[in-house]
Amino acid sequence: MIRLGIGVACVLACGVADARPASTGFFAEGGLAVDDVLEGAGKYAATGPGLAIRVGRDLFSWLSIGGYVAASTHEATVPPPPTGQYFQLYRAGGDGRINVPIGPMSIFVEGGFGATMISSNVLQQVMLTKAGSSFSATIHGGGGLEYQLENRHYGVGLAADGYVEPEFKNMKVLEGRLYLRYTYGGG
Amino acid sequence: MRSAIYGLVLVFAACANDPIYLNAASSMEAGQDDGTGMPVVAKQSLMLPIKPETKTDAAARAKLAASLGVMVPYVKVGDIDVEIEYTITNLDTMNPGQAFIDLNGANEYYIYDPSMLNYTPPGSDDPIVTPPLAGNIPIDMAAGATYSGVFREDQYETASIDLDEVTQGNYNPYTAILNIAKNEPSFGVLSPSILLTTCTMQPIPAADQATCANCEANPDDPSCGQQQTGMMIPRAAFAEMIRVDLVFHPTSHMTLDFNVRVRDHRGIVNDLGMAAFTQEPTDVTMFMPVEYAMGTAN
Repeated sequence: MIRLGIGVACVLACGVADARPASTGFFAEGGLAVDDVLEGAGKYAATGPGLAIRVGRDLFSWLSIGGYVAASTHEATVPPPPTGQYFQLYRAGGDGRINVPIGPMSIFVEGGFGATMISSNVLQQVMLTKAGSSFSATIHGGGGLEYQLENRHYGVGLAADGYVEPEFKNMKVLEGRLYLRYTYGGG
Repeated sequence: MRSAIYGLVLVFAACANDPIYLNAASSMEAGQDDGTGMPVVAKQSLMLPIKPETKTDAAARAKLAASLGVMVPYVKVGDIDVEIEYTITNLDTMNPGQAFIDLNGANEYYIYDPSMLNYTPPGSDDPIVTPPLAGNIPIDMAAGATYSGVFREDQYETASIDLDEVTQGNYNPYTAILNIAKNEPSFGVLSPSILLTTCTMQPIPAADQATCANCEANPDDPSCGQQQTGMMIPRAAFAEMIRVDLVFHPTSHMTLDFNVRVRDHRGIVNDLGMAAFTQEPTDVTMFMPVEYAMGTAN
């Protein structure tokens, strides 16, 4: 375990030393996503597209905090009727990200808390939502890879996050997201 | 950044018209032998969970009624959009069959039940079958098959207007149903049909006996027909159906499950959906429409 820790420390030191110059400061990030509902709830909600917007601030070159809003749309595959109906999940919250630059790439982990609103009660018949209740707290976590472009302000990344909705019978969703990030300010 | 904000506004504006789904209490099962050689007919109703009218809305409605000079309902055509989705399963795994679904309903004033409406003129040998407001189209079902269909929002809206024309306007149901009403700005109120009202009374008033005898002998006499009264019901006073009545009459043993999807444009549908009737009964309006009857019952 000690050797592993020394190894990680070496990688970190080497990584930071070779990192491509990047701006730090306020940033805005927009992404396109694919959201897959997992496990039991996955029988009743199909995979669907999503989008996410995140804004925040780099506190340090390796740590940023921010707020996000996101939305995804899914077909409700509940026992008919109804058929061909869709619902949306709207999410908002705050999160933090720790990244480790390695050359032009960086590996990051992220996590946060927020709230989700479901657009309709179509999942009520399979008891994933309760009558009159369309909100849930959200906990999410994940990570990904980011590529810093030669322009110090821009980076593109690929992230995978899982989020849990406790009020919707602990519905779990896996999101894969491709994003573009713009950081204001200098390095 | 600006485009991100516009995108957010679009996303959240889309929430404003999200539907609410109301499940029927149980499956409808019909078509099996009822013991007398006739197939069972299943009927089920679903009342929409409409919240009580606020004082502000009531005042605005009274003002509108005063300006239009007609009764204005609480739930009007255009306040909500309703779609009915259904799934039929043919339980007979050996033989195909046909399924028929009749859509009827009630607005806050009247219930439309074809079995209570007889438009056959007295003395006629050719009975008129009162049609449903929508549906009664044969659906071919293969043995053991499942079929999903829908009564669209525009069909429901048309059915609501037709119900209003029949009950408030004294229209013959065939006249109302065969006329495409969904874009009508108004309809005129006709005088009641003397053949179907006065001439079906037991006994016929003495003053009307000669008229009734003439009209039964000469039903095409213009004086026996319905006349425009001059009163117009504008679209702003069209009543929306607040109760769905389905009649399921297949030719073989089948089940029907249905679900009502409501898009609420005025915020008058209780968010709890059907659970509102048990969990918040004081926050649901219990409408008491009366059965609209015509002629002698079928």
